[in-house]
Amino acid sequence: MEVEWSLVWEIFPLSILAALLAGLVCPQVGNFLFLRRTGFYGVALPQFAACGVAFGFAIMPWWVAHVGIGGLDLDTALEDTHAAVNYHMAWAGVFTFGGLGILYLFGQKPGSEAARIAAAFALASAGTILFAHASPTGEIFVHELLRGSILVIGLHEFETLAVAFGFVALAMWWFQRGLLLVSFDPDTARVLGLGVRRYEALLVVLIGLTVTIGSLTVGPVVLFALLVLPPLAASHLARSLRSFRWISSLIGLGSAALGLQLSFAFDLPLGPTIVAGAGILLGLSLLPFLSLGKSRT
Amino acid sequence: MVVKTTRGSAKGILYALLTSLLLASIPLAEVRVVATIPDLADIVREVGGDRVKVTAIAKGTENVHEVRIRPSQIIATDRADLFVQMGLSLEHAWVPGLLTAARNQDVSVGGKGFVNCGEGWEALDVPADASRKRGADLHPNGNPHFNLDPHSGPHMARKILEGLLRVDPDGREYYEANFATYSKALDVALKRWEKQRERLKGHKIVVYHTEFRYLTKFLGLEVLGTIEPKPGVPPTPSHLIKLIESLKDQRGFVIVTAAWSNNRQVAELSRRTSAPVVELPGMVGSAAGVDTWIGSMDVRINKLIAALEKE
Amino acid sequence: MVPQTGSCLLSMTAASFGYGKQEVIGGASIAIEPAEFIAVMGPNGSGKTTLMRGVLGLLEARSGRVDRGDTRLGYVPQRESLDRLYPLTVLEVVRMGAFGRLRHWRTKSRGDENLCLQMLERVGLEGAHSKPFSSLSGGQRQRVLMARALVMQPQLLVLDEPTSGVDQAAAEGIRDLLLSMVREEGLAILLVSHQLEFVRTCASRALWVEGGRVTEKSKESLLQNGSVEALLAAGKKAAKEGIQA
Repeated sequence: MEVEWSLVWEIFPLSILAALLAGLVCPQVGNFLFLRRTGFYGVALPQFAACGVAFGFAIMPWWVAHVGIGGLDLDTALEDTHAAVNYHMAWAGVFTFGGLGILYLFGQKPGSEAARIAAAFALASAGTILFAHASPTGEIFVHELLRGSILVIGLHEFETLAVAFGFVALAMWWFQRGLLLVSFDPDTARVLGLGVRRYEALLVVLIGLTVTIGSLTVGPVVLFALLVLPPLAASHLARSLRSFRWISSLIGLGSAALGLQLSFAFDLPLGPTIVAGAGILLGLSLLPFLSLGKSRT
Repeated sequence: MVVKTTRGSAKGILYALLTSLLLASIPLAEVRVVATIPDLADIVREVGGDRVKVTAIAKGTENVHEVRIRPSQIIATDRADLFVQMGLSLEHAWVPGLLTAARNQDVSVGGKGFVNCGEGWEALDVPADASRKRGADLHPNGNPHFNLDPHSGPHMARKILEGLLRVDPDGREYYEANFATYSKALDVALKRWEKQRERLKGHKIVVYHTEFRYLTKFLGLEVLGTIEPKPGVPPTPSHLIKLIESLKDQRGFVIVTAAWSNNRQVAELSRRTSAPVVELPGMVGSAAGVDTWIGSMDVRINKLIAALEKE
Repeated sequence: MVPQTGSCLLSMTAASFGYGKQEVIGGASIAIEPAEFIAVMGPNGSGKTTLMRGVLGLLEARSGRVDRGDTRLGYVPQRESLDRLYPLTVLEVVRMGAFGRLRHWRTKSRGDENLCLQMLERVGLEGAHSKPFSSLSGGQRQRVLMARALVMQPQLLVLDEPTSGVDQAAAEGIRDLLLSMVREEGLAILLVSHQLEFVRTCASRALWVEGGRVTEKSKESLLQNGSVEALLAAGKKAAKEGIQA
């Protein structure tokens, strides 16, 4: 069926705004993952969030009986209610921040960071499958939630996304100087009196918040793509840190816009088209080098 | 003047006749219907005829528990006058999201344009503990695959008729006439299937998922086991070992599966037990030539006869 | 005892530093006055960097006392410790020197912008402000980091191996720049280096670090070629034997 463009804004305002907001904000967080050479966090952390959601599903019968989810019975809690969404986000958050904490602690020991993240990803993936297996709704319902289809985003989810991503964007702007210096040259940051541990903790909170909320609203795959691909594309084009940040967010925004266009024009699921959009823009960012026949160092 | 008037009256009568003929043959209203699965869409077409325009959400080849929503489907639901679902939690992973996104009060749960075919259907395998506290279960309200029950045609058609009458009462005569015609066709088909089942009674099968539970009951087939330990739960090693052990002494059975099942595990079981695999169409549109609900049931039963009579 | 005067920028009294359970420097006593050029030397792994980190406050003293008063510190890290993946321009790097003075959300102020350009001119990189930092040569990057440290408006500048891996001409340029800062502005410099020739031509005194102990060497002793070179060579030999063992 062909999608009538006149209806798109009327019916999908939340989906469009959520996609554009994610496209704008995720790359700002992804910039730090990229520059700190921890891009793999972008893969591992959404998987932690997914594992948390699956775990939440698995223990939901016990939780409803002993703790309670907004006074809901189990059947209602398994539906798409505000309290249930908050419950899933809380578990996603616990696992994301827990994963970040573990990676940070192990990061103090010698060894390969990439191997640590790969191991964490493998464990979180296995955990997701096993917990989903034990879920009272079976795996399919868990997978459906983890897909986080932006097309069917509810008002409560959108409000949560808007508040969380708004906070992340504001914090990224407000603390940009400290976050940059602490990442680039932590010793000089200390000499200048910037609280390195405080800024590191802030960055962990911002990454964790983005991943937790993003995983359940836009979905882990879209989140990973928007965290990693725009900074990678921007690194090919930017000639300063300022332009890197702008280009990265513009590419994120462009990926979302292109994804929306592809989805509505060809009637395709929105999440994968945003990833495809980001991939197209990444490919385009390489064109100047192909035409010059050389790559920048 | 008089002549003119007379000629004008004749023309008027002619126009009136033609118009009434056209009105009788071409339905005035177009009722926009969204059906969750192609089986329901086919029955809506049979009962609604030319007065309806139907969109099916799931494709015939898709796992109906797990459907990825596309923009056009949300728009179709937003514009729909009637939304028809199977219910019994068959589509519970994606229909709530679809209805929320579409924001169409008329077709929301409880709205006059919402048809839940599961309502009033006596489901098989309803869990004793409906609160789902006893572990994984994709079918918390009983087996929802009753579209695969040869008896379910009239029930689904009746539910759809009721829905159409609620949203388009002007088409009552038209819909009831179509319903009567379709009911006759269903009756003929049911008699045919009842006759065919005599050839299948007592034959043994193994299934992957429990989607064919109603069909196997109707046909009197003996189900030796399911590859999934519980609906929606992939097989565990111990379950597979137990299943293979239990099938050791069995002969002359076939493994029944659908396109969306994990057919690598089905193939492995087939290799270990030397039992042939027969893949049945899950829904209308799941294979070439499976275009109607009645036709899909014919294909299933004929395939089973061909496979089991060989054994 | 550490000699102290009223103008002392930093005094360290019987201070010890280390990592985890391991003590690397023990009982170090140093006093740094304005316009002093102090070199920190010693064999590899002797604790020079640990001492430098103690001076900068990057490591807390485990015992003893370090008094920095209100002294403004400037720091020039080893350029190779900074990741070249960051797409920073020269000016963006130099601006970081002013980050300690700015309000949270700002990355620059008009006054500091002029200061950054002045400091770039001072280190001989006028007109290079928009160039990518990562595209510069080793010596040029070192100058950029010095300009950044100068933007901190320090009274005591600490440099970690500033001439390591740069060519002779660039090293001489850095030396001249450092000496002019000491002479013209009374800036105190603490410089960690392996390069005896470089230290010999500019340091007013030297601290010798070996076996966790910090001892003072006079300029005169640095001029006695044989003694320090022999010590460095002995340190290298000991380190080599340690690795072989």
